[in-house]
Amino acid sequence: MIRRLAFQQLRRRPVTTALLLLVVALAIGVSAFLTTLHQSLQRGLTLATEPFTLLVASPGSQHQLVLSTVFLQDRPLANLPYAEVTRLSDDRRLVRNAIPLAFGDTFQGYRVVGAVPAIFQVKAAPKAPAWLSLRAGRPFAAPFEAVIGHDVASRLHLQIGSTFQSSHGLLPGKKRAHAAHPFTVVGILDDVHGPYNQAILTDIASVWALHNATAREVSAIMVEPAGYSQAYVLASRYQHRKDAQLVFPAQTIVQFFNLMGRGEAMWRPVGALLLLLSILLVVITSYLSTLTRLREYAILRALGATEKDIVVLWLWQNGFLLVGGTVLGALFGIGGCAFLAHVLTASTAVTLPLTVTPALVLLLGAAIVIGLAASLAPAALLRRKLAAAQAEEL
Amino acid sequence: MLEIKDLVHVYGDGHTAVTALEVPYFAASDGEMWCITGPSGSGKSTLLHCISGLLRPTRGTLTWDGRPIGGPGQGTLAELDAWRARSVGYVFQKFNLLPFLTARDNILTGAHFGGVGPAEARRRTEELADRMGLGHLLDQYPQAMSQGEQQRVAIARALVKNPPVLLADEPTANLDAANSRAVIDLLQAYGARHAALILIASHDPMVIDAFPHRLPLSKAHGGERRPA
Repeated sequence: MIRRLAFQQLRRRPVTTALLLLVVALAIGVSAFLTTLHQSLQRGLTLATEPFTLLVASPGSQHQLVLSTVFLQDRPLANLPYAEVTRLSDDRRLVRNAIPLAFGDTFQGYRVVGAVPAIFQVKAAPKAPAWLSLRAGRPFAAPFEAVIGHDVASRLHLQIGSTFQSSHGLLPGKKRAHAAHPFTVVGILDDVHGPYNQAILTDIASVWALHNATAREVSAIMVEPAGYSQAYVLASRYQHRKDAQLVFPAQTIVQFFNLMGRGEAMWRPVGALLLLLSILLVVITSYLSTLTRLREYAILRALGATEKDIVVLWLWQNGFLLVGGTVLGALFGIGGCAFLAHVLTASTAVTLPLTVTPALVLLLGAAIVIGLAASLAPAALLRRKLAAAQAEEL
Repeated sequence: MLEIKDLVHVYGDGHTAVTALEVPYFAASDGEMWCITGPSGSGKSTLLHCISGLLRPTRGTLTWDGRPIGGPGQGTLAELDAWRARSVGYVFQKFNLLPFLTARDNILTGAHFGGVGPAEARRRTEELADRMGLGHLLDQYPQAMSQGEQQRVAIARALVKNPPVLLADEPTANLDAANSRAVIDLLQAYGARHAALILIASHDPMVIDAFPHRLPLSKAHGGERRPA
């Protein structure tokens, strides 16, 4: 009955109740959003880099290299001579596989990625299945045969046997179509839950032919080392080279998250303060609003409610507000993150797995517990006020 | 039996102290119906608050069947709360229905704090509503009811726990003659059926005439009545 009374009293003042719920929801929502986003981004970006153990490219920004090669965004770095691929492939002691990648063209905004058929054998981990598996058709086997990503097939309604002409250039703007060299779709990839859903894979010879390249060059080389220690031997070889660099994409992502982590660490005290202020606001507003309804509590006392009943009633009310606000906030935060993930996936094919972390659950629980604990002091005040005003209010 | 001895209640202290109530002696037995009379400020409401345990008097003793129910140092707060919850039904001049509850929930609230179980409370609520002609109002909020209807709901709320003591503070002050008569009939019928002690504070002549026993209070001093 006390729970019902508490709920009915809140229902009776819908505007105040809604505003208090909103205050808690916003404070919780911002924290939940940032925590979830941070976790999801970290998992999503790390997952996307898994097939790319090492990247070799010409000197330049590591972030630009990872962005252009792993995430198919931004411009690639300057080209490397194909001889670098041969050199790596020949080093069987250190290198299991060296796959050249060449960028330069797009079709309807989707990047054409020149590679070699060995790319279909790449695995994210030794015991994992192949990274790129085919839903239909076969791998490309000759120039101007294309294997298209899951999103490319579904959004452009391309099927096995469809033909298309790519355009020169990677970024939006005026494009020149390569009308003389149409591509034929020979395979469609399964959903890889990553940026290569938006790739058009073809033989690297197609890219050279499209650009009438006199010298065979590549944008980057995807290197599968023979083992963990071999990767570091390779890295040490590139350390002093001025004409090429070797990058661990996973490390680049970790660096990126260290930077982001600093931002998150800066946000944490602000978020905590915001949360505490919102809890304080709920407790104080609830207390002040209770003072205007002392008569209702005096009536309950006259009906036989004990002082403890009144305190419990008040705590139930704050409990409803805190739990309701926390649930709403979690929905706002995680929902906002899900929306952002959806937008990101649609535009970049980077999948952000939504993760409710123990830290987030702890935050939500702490908000409720701290709120209820903070309600105890005003509850004692309320008890005293009520005792003094009891007779006058009836 | 209710027995009051040397009861005094003073509001405030020092220069602001005001003696609101003095009752040298008063006793009333189960089944009796008393009307407490007197001008405004004579302490009628204060006396009812003291009897209900809502107010602890400054001096004196109050007992029910020999058990202390108030007075300084008499009974703990929990005991006074338990006395009021289980044994006292209270009807107010301003009805004091909880505005955020329907008539049904108002009555059920009285039963809940009176220690009546949920199923029995629902049964009694329906029965009282039928008897008092409130059936059609049970799902309405107080604001949608007339004053007479509100007072009948308030009486149902007080009676639902079958209290041996029923206190009513000017229950007809805001009602017209017909509704006042109906309220008094309800209270008297309850007293007769349950052999309950009824104490009603009023200066309404119709009410005063309707009750066989009277306890007049004056501003300076309370009335005095000793058992025959």
